[in-house]
Amino acid sequence: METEMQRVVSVARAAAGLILANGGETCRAEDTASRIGRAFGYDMDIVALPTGVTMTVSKDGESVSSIARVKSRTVDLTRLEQVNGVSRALAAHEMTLEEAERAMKAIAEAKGPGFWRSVLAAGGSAAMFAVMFGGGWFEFLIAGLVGAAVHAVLRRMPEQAAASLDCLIGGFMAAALALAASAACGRGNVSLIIWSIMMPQLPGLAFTNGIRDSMRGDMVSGGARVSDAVMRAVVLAGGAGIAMWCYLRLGGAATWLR
Amino acid sequence: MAEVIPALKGLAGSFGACLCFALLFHIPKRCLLSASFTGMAGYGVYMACLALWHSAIGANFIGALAVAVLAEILARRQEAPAVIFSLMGIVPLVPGAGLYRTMLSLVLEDYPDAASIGVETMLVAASIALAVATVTVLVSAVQRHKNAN
Repeated sequence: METEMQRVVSVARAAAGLILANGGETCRAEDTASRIGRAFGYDMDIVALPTGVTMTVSKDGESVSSIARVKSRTVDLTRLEQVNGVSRALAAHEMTLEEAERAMKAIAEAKGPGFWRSVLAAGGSAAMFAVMFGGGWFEFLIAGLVGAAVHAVLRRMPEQAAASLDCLIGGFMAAALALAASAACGRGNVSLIIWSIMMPQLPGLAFTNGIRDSMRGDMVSGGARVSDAVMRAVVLAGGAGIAMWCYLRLGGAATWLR
Repeated sequence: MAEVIPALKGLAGSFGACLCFALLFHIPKRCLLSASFTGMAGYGVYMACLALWHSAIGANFIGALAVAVLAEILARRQEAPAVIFSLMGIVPLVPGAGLYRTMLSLVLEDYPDAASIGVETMLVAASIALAVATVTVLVSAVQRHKNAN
């Protein structure tokens, strides 16, 4: 039979792990877990990192410690919001620990947007970025098609592939396909198309969260997130650079890229 | 009149891009429109500041500041994490064009250009992140102070 303390640990650990795995800030993970513990009168000590979380729950000289590894990091803000809702309900005692355990399991198992839906969304956002930067119909169309194609390939990649490899392939495909399509049609603002496709792939969330973590004093996760974001942006640009370099070596005109 | 059409395209494009991006990142349905609006508002502020001062770094900072403040307000009103709105808000501001131009200069072996555009891109990214982080850290500090009393 599980004690209440063990239940609190398992719910708090699931909450912190879900927040870290789905794009939440480190301080949000720590605050949420400690809010859950305090709601039941326990002392909480938590260290959250981008790659895992450790915590100790204690009361009256007894304590339980637990570690959770965060294996994959994506961005799924619906999960973030649902975890937030569960922790609020727990803190207000509108939900029991058993219900919260079940809710966490359901949130972790819920599926994100499907393949076609996310491909469409990726294409749509690249196309709309082209409009935002002042592109015309041609840029809108090509950015949308290439953006969707890039996302379709990245979604099909095996999950263990590193994020940096994703960015390399994404950047390369964006530039190569945009150059090929514009060259084939003999028109279009290629540079605008390429950066419109790169926009949705840039790690804006990781960078902002990293700076925020550093400012709050979470030095380890702050540094890790910032360096992760910088590396991904550099690799993304590098992928595009390889395609552009090949295009120039094949005799393409540099003025066309400006 | 010539300045109105690009501005309208910028607003419409940023709203549409944020909406699609929101679907990609699986934003809760009830926040879809307000989060996309945050993105459009931030980009609108950015465009206005850019037209006034011609400084990309300053305009991005003020735009991101507007995004962060709006995100905190919307988070209170809709009882959702503020990061949902601030993430969507900064999406149109992220310096993709600067990153591309830096890379292009490197590929063309134009290193002085690469250095100056690269530094500007880095500063733009830093100013956006700094603006959002400052507002959230300030808000949470104020909240803690209130809770303590």
